Amino acid sequence: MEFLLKILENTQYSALTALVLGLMTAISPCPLATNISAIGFISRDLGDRRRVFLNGLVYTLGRAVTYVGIALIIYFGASQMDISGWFQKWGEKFLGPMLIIIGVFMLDFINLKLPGFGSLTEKIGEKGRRSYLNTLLLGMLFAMAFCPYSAVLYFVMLIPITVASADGLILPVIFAIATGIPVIIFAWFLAYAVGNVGKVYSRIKSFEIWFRRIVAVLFICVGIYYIITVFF
Amino acid sequence: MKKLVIISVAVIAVIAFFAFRTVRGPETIEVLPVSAGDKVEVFYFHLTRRCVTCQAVENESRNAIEALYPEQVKKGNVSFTSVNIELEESKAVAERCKVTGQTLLVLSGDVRVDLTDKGFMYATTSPEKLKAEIKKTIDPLLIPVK
Repeated sequence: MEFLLKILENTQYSALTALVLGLMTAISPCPLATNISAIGFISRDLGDRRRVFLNGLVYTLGRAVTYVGIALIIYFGASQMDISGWFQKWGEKFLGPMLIIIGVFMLDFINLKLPGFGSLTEKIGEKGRRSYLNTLLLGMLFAMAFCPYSAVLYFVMLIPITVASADGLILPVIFAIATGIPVIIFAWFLAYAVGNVGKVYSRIKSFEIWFRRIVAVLFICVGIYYIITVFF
Repeated sequence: MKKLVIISVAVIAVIAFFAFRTVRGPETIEVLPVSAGDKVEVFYFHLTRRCVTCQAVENESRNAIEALYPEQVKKGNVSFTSVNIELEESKAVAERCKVTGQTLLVLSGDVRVDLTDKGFMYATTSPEKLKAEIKKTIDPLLIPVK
């Protein structure tokens, strides 16, 4: 962290500032919990390394959508103070219940059928295009969960240099990539390591089902952690 | 897979090319002369849930002010106040200071200096730098205009 702060202090390049702020966000204790959940979520298709890597990129894209979206809203005149205040107040509060809901559906215990939408459980776990959409939405959702520290990094340090000029709107993208890099690397590494073990024992499919359940429990645990720390 | 890696690298390279054209400008702090009677108020606004750094910002700022200006603090010319912005009773002071989130703020007369970024950058790793920033901000405010 000290090393990153030194770069932050001495750099004149706003791109490097955005990169460092993103890395600081990714490794700070609070967003780490969401990142660990994300690693589990995007590694759920353990047998397919390419898919895991793509999921990592899509997750990062989701984060970028949120960060750029908020920056655009402020750039086009919304009050930075109001938006920052709202996210600081509510960003973390909705995350806990949301994680628990996602976790419960991933566990397959409740199979909710919505008219016109089919099974919700299938949608959260299923493969294919919808799976990428879920990952994109997860990235967007997790990026909205501003913790006290990450809110300062984004709203106080990144937004002022972002909204200063139109060129600056690229900075939230760099920030998002930096917050997503550790997730992509860990998920890919996990898929690579476990994927090889799976091949040896030819049991990857059953392992995948169990891994998915572990991820679901992880979501529920992280959700409970957030509810306890935020509300009690 | 190779294609995917090449495309990702290319996208990052393009972003980097455009982004590095954006160079940060010099930071400026607007410090206007104030009358001798103006008090210097330092506020730290925080949320109910606080991270380690958030707590360090408050502690280090408070310690710095008490160490730098013991006489002025005793006389009431310099003050440090910690405010939980989520409480109903804090609404009035937050509105007066025009604050909606976590903020480390120095107020004196018409002068308003936001030190939030410095606070969060230095509080845990190099509190002496935060102390220096606070001194650099408050010292000129304590010199009466002739």
